Amino acid sequence: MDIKPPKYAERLLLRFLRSDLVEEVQGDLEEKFFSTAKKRSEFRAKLNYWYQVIHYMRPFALRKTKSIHINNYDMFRNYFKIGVRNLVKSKFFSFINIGGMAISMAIFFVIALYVLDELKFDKHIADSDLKFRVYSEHFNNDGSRKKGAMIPPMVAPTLMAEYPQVEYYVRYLNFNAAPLFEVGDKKFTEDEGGAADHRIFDMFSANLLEGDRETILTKPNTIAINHTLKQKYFGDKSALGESIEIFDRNFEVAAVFEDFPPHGHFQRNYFLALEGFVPSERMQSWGWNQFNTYIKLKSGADADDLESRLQDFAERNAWPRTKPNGGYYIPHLMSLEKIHLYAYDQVWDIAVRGNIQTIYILTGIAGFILIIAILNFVNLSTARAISRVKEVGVRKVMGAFRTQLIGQFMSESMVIAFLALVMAGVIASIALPHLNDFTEKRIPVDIFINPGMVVMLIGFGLFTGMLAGIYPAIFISSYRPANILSQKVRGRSGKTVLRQGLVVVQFILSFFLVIASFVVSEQHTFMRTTDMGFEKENLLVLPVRGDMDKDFEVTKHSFSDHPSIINTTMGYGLPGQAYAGDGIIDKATGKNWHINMLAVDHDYVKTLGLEIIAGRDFSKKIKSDEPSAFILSETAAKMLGYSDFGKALGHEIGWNRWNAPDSLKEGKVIGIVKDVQLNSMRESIAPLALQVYPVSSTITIRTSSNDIPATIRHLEKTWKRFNSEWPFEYKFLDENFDKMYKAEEKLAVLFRVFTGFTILVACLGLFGLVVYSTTQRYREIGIRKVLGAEERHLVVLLSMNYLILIAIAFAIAIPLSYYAASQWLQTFVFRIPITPALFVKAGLLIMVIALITVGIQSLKATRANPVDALKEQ
Amino acid sequence: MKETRLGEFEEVILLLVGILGEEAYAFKIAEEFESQTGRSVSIGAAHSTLNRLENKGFLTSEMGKSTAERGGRRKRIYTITAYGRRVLKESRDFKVSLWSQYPEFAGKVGFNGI
Repeated sequence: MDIKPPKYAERLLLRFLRSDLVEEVQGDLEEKFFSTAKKRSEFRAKLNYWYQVIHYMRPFALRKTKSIHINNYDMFRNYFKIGVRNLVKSKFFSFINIGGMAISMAIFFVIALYVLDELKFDKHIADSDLKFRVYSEHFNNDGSRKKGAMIPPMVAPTLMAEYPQVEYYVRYLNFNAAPLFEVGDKKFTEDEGGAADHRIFDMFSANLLEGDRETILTKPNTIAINHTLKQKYFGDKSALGESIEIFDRNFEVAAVFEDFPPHGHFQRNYFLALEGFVPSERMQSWGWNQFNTYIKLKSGADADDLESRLQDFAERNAWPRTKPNGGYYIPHLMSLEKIHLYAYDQVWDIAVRGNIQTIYILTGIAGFILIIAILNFVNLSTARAISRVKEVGVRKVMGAFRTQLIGQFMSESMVIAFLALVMAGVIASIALPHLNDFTEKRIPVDIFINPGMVVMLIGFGLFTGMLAGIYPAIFISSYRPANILSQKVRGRSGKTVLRQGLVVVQFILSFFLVIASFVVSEQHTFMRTTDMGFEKENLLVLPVRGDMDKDFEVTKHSFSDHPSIINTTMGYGLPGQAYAGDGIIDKATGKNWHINMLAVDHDYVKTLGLEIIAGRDFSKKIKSDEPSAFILSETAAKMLGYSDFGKALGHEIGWNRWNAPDSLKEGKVIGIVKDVQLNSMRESIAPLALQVYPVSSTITIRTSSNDIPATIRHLEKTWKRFNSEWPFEYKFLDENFDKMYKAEEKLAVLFRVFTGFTILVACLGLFGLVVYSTTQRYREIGIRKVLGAEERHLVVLLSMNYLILIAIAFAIAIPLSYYAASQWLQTFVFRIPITPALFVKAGLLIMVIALITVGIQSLKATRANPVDALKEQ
Repeated sequence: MKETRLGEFEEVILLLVGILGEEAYAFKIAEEFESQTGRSVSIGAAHSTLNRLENKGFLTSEMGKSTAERGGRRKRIYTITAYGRRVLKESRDFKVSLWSQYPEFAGKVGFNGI
């Protein structure tokens, strides 16, 4: 007989089949097997045999297994029973263990969800490993340098022409001021849009709902809008071929695209065709840093190789053109996937920004707090080992192996871990919506019940349970039964050195977090409150729209015609808003300097509250001020070589007019103002020049703080007089700054909350230990009291150990947190000094909390009547 | 039908045991079921039902004689009991009575005895 039923299937069958059925079933299956083999094929027969065997797994045919494993079953039942009894017996310690672990796990989950969500950015984009944003590093003549997210329009086309590994590029010109969209009688200003090259949808893997992918945005005066905008203007019908009036021109809708998914750094709602939108000579620029530029490399291309050639590329193409104007730049590549987290130091960015440092910090906190909870468990369990000593002894005498005992204690810690896990899940789902609100994320709460997550959570529970349980289990199971049961040795409660070491570690972590959270919030306060060179409160900003730029004097007069309006100024250039990077020519040396230029009117200095430290403000009475006068900032004066600002007055400089680039405006410096920070305090202060020049994009109004609503009503009424088309818009200038510091503010709050919980968990553990050690020394305290010890001495005696441990932790934490804090502060140009006061504050905070924790319990122990303690024996 | 609670599958198996007579053992019954109904069934499923029917008392079984085929292993041969036969008959009568109440088919469809 050549063919036989599959061996393993037979073996499997014999494993589970009731023995009295074996003969008939095997016979039946064999008959089936040979008949199938004859009718079909050997393979089919074998397959069918397996099928038949598996289908024999039915209750009636199964061997009854209980009788074989009955001993083990009882053993496990006993483990479980003892475990539960132990939990219930010492409710207090169970509460500390489970509660502390649940809090830590909940924080761990919440942070993990946040971090995972941040890491999701731009992962949906196809070929993202071949896609890069070209950003640039700028070097100015004054020695300053910065990274910018936008580059001039010529870079990308030239790159593609010179390097064949570039497959295509996309340039995007953002509209900083939202233009007005008109479709029939629907008129809205639309932000989050701009002009783009036609392959933008390939670059961001966007889906087109309408329109032709090949030709989209190739024709001038076409526009692609997202689904939301289409619904807003055209409802459910197709928008293709419809037209939208923007900038007094008609744009034909050439495509409708799916809204960009939320996990992308690049979030825009519409794109005009860049083709034909900007005059072509402007597009030849090597110095107009206004384009977010992305390139896609051919597959197999080496990005590092391209990156290494970019300096040479810039030296040849860009530097000859830009160096005479006071600076040069080197383009760099940044992988698309990295932009969200790693581009935090690039200026002029429109990306949805995260910060990899925040990710590291939060991950660190999550890890720390989990470690602290695990250490709590290890500490309390080894400390309380003594209460299980007899049990271990009896079990060993009865024949338990050490591995079985380890298994028993491990399973107890697993039970605790899983109880904590369930509680943590509940806490985290309650906290998640609040976190979503706070961080402006949309993490779904039902994430906890998706199957993948459940598996991960169970794995996490096992892992934590194991980590926390392994040492106590090994320790407790190590007692020698003869010693224990002979009463000669009463058993030790674990190695004190180890326990103390763990307490020190916990408090190092706590100190570290407290100090870090102080640094973050103080830096944030510092940035918000530090003097920026102007008074940012009570400044209202309105864009210049419609007829407002017909006659500046009339406009200003109409708007300021209200009692609570103090000053009004119009111009181009406002801190926290838009301003022009420009250049001036030093007439004395003929040198070009890069400088930020504010085109203003005579009221600018007064309205913003700039402080004149030498010379004078612009004056209407002096006719020469408009055609030939400049005011410089301190930094600008220093750049020109003046340390005595009085001497800078009268210095002659020249400037190429914006509206007529070839005509030079020449004039003298008439005043020096204190430095003004135009941007966030993350950046260094740039040199600044002011001049009276008739260009205006905003009207800025200083109001007294009383009755702001009435002022705004007045502004709205006036606005309507100048233009009926544009909806009224205004904002407070300080809003812009608050927005800049939002990331730090949120980090500071998160830090405070998480640090609070960390201290709570650490103190829970400490409290548990103190409670335990005082009950251990119950009699000692009694004897001491009887012998005349005073309460306060006893409290000191009991607390001293712990305070010393905490002091050691503090000493170790200082250098660690100093290093971390100074690293973090490096990213800010203007930063708080790390002072000893910071550490003292943190030290006092934790010392006080720990002292209260330890002190309460010690006091309670010393207050007890010594008779109660001593009458027992 | 009501009091005996005979399922459709059980009823067919019971009938097949009657049809096969001396050859009524799990493998043959499963084969017969497949060829009669065109539905496939595993031997295990058939066996499980046979076992259940035996527990209910509709069938009895005993091991047959050992033969040269199937490696000398014996077969378990099932036979219908009197109780099983009565249950089948009741089931049929119940259905016939239902059919006769169904106006469209009344009188047109009949069942022949087992």
